[in-house]
Amino acid sequence: MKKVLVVCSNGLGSSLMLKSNIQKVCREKGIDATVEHCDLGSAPSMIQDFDLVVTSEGLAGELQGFGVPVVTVVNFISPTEVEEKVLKHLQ
Amino acid sequence: MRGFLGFIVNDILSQPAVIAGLMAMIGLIALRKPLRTIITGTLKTIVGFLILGVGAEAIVQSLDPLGEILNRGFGIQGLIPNNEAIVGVAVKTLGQQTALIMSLGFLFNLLFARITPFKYVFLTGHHAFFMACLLSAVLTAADIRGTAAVLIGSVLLGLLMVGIPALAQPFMRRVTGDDNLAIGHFGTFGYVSAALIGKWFGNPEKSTEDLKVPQGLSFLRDTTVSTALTMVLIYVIVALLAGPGVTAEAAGEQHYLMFAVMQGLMFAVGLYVILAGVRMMLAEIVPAFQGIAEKIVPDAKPALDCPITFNYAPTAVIVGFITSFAGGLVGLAILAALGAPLIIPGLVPHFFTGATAGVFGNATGGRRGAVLGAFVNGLLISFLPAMLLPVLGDIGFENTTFGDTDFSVVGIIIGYLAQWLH
Repeated sequence: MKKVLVVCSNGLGSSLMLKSNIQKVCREKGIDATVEHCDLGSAPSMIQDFDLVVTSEGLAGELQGFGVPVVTVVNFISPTEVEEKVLKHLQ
Repeated sequence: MRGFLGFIVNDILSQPAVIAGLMAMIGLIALRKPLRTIITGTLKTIVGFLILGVGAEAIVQSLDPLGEILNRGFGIQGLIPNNEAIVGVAVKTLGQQTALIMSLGFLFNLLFARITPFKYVFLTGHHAFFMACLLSAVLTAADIRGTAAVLIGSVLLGLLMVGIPALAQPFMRRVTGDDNLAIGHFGTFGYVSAALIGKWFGNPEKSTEDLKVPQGLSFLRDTTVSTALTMVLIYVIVALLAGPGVTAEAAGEQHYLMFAVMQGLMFAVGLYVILAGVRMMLAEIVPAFQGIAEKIVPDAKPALDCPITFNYAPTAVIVGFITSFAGGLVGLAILAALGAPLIIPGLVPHFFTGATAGVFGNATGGRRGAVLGAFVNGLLISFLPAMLLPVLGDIGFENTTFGDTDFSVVGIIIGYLAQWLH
């Protein structure tokens, strides 16, 4: 089962929304994945436990170099964007 | 009230943490979650709220000496606007009312979204929480308490939760090119001002996104880092200006500059703990609210936290932040010249609101719109909190206050209206 980490600056606004978006898409497509969310500060200490990181373009730079693929999303509530960009990493 | 019912009302429900936990529990039960999820969700919400309280203690301890030094050294009042800090301070006395206003506010959001053409669901939980606290503070300062305060506060909160996103939407459409996404953030007065300034004075042909700006500042997006940097800087500057004599009374045995550095860091510590508490508290409540909202108002637009706009104009984010901060410095100078309470510009409020103002200003008026609009936002978040102070009541004495524009605007309107009606 794949583990996804959603990261935003404070870990309580955008990441929570994107997390529920990804969870919904996974449910609909029958993909088995757990999704967690956190703030940028906590991410480096948790990131190694995950298979994929999803975040916004502005934060992606801070999350590179940990050996975990980083995917960026523009519209946090768009199921289509999640389908296009995130799902292929979870197959 | 006596007996068992009295115990429930006076002892259990007077704990704001418990009220928040009940909110989560009701939401999770309504969504038919398994029992283990209901138990862990409810417990984590209660614990999150209590963690908030612990962080608040640390923040107050870090701010008190700053207030003393400013007062004794310069005879002035200086405030660091920080939503988490002021709410942390407020929940000690206003926690119960805040939790009730927030819970009922969510219900009124759903009601208004269902029966009016303003189909917005306000999903930025921490802002709903902060606004509930602001409403509680201003109503209490106006001597409106108890059931009346909770009712008035929650109806107002519900109205704001549909009204503020509606206000921003004509411009939000320009930012995202999509009408399905709304912004639910209580800095909207600043964002709409920026958008209007862009519309009147800007040139939409020349976007900020055509400019090249260094991207190396993304480490500032880590709130703990940027808060620690700002607060240490502020504390050290104030200590240097006040001199070792004045600072020594607060610093005691410790070297005065080292004291300043440690106090600044303590603020970041308190903030981190408050944020951790709010995060844990909302992790269950917001998804539960979202789930229920989908059933009651299925055609509603989600109104989300301001960083969702950043992806649409990343350069405007940086331009907006810098010019808003410049506006904050100019605002500080003007406040000092007027002898008014000083609103010290903070990296975090100027980043989030300035960046969003920049994005809105760019959408209507290109780079000129972004620069002028964000600058005006910087001025607004300097003057408005100073104007809010007289109606904020007792919680305004801890050298911190609300940062984003809408908290001040709503507080000022209600505070002065209540005074006028009395």
